[in-house]
Amino acid sequence: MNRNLMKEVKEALNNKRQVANLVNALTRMRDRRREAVARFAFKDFAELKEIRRRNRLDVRRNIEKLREAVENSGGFFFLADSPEDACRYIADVVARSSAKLVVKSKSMTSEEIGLNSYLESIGVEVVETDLGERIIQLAGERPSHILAPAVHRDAASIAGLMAENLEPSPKAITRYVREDLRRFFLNADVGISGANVISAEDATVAIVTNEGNERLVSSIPRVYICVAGVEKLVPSMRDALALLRMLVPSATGQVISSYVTFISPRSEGFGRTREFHLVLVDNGRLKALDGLLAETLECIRCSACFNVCPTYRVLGGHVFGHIYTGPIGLPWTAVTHGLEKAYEFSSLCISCGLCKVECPVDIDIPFMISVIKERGNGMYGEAAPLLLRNYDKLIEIGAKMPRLSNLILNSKLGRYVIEKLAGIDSRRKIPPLASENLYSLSRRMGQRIRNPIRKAALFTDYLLMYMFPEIAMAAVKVLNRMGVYCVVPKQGSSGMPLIQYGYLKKASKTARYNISRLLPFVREGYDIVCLEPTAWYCLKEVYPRIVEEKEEAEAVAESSFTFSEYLLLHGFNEPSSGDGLKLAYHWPCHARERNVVKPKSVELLERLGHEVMLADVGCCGMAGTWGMRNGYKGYETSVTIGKTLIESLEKTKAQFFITDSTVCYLQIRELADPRKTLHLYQLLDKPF
Amino acid sequence: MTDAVSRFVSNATAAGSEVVELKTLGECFKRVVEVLQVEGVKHVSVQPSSATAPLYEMLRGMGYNVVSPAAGIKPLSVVEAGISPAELGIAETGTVVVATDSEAARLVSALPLINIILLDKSNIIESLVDAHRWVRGFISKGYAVSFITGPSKTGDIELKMVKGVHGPHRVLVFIHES
Ligand code: SF4
Ligand code: SF4
Repeated sequence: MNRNLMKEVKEALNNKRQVANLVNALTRMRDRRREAVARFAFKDFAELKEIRRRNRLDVRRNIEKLREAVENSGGFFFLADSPEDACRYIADVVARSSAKLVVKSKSMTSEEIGLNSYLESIGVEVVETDLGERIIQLAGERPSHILAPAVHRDAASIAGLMAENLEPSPKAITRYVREDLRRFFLNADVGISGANVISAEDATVAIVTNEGNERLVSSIPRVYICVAGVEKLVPSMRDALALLRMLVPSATGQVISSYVTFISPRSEGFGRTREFHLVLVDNGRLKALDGLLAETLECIRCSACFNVCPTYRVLGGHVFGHIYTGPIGLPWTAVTHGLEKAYEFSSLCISCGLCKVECPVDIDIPFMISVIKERGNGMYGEAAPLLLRNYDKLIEIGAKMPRLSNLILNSKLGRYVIEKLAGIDSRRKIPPLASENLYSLSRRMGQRIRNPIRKAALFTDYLLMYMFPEIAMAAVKVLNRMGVYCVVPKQGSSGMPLIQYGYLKKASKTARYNISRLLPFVREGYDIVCLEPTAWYCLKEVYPRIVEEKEEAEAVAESSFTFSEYLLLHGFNEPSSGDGLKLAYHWPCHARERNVVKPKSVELLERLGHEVMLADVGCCGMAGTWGMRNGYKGYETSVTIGKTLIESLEKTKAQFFITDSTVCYLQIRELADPRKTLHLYQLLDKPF
Repeated sequence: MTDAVSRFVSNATAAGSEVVELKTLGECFKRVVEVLQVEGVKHVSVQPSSATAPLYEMLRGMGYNVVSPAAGIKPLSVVEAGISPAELGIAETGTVVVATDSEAARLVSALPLINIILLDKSNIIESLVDAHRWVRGFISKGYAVSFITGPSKTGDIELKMVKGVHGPHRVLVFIHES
């Protein structure tokens, strides 16, 4: 591998100004977007998904349709297999028209194929005209975000790139760029743009912008070239508009952009026929259609997934990316630039799942990233050291002799060895193993319940099972109070670390085991209540994808609930005891659902008369074992992410910080005041 | 129908267009002249159409330098205000649809700092997706189609909105009755 990723991570985290710029900007973009898509109904998203699925399945047919339509309307069509093919074709067109100057409107595909440097190498001047792209071009950088390429820079650093003594304000810079770029627009021989969507039957490219630069790029020069990936194809103008209707709000938070420009070979240029070229780029896409990364081609490049990715948000796209950046940038890189380039930065994905929740097309990005890790493991490296991969066995063995294990965990030498062998950072607090695990504790404590109305089998994962069984028992007591009889079936760990690090075969075994343990209970009418959001996420989202026994997995998934969901569903309604508390709640990533804005746990706490504030910065940064990994492999980034959460929790001036994932609870307890940090179940068990 | 008009007005306004509801085309022309005077415009371009033909003559008569889109890029580039007739309004988004018979005429709404758009009330439709029929129709006739919703703007620097990047910093939509 060529990249020294850890060095890049270190540099990015040390650039405090950039971290702050990024987190601020992306959080604002996220909130703006959420507000804008709130007006859409569930069926709007379902329709978009259906359109994109159909587009993907029909892409080959649509390519032929487009070819015919372009040629019948007097344009030129070229399907490029590879970046070289595409660049060569475009360079030929440019050379034939004796062009010296090319103006460009934003096109990620041209970045993908390295078009600018190709044209420059044959002596053509290429000028980017999108403001953000222009900034990046002058800085000699790559775009760090598909929508806001210069999001990592502030006005002061941008003004310096443009001209001496330029006032460092967005307004002054924009004025300057308008004047500066006009001379290029007016004298350009060739205009090149990308596409947001292409209607095959109309041979028409549609581009959305707010600046209006694409209008000048496509209208003034004698020759116009559109270069775009085959995934931009839709069969009809109707699909094109249906897609744009969702794309713009999901991208910028607007109802629609200032401009949508439709460009077709039929329209006339300045007093003569304009030359129109449509270069569709394959570059691995068609091959990907038949594999596990196929869903990548449904992406509409709205960048919603970027805004929420916890590691991208602090590291930026230069670290979290190759040419394509951000969450979906990983599968895009694997498809267009190869597995190795994607694997190189895949460890930055911590499998929080937030990108999938945010994606308007419901693309399973985290799963595709796990697939990338799995394919690369062994070939280009290992995503986790051997001991970490066998974390479940380690915990099981350790839990057999908790006293000795804790002695080791508490000794400097012990921690040193653990750091060396399992890669766990010595600075991270590891919770001690409980003297009694949940199986035996629950048997010993029994249940206070006479006439149960429902029966629940608990799925808990290993932190609650072996380290915090008393928190799990708090949940049991609450369930008992509402008439639910609980059992703790013999079970394995959720397997999330294996999924996270791309050991999917092993994860599939764990999944099969857990399904086989839980299914008999489902068949006997038990509900599966998951005491960890991650355990629920595995049952619902992941297991059905990684086991062959789909029906069994779905049966278990359908009967699975989170704790709060379950309580709400069955009318948990304890009278509030005394005054309500002022609480700040952290929403665990794996408890989130698409298009749901209010956490179930908040609803629950409000029913009890508490005042609850949502500290919604996103992920806590712990991500299971990842936040424990040494140095820049986990811990440092984890703490940087965690601190933003702590800041926002503290800003609420709440009496207690509440969460219902034990992993998040550990992170908050370690970084904030531990006396103020409570697990949801502890709070519900002992009403204060 | 009126419902669509009011939705159009509120969405276009929210997007930053300055919308004025007027009675006749003649009133629109009067308003155009007022804007040109206030802004101190000397060079103006009018996208040719049956609706704008009288305006073209009127502005000429008043001594404005009225540039034809066909005159070429150099004369067009000095134009300070462009006047475009809209084919369609879309209520859902507050968008006007402009279709021009050449790419050169598209520049009337793309190059200057001010863009005034004339929209016939009866041409306002409800939904964005429904516009596909019209868009297809224009394209098949060789028209260059643009959706315009508010001024040219950017948020590329620190996400702060600045107007008038490459196109107009003011977009005015004058709605008139048929
Ligand atoms: S799963 Fe989380 S960490 Fe991974 S890419 Fe998606 S948002 Fe980023
Ligand atoms: S993956 Fe989804 S959220 Fe991310 S850019 Fe593509 S469509 Fe948007």
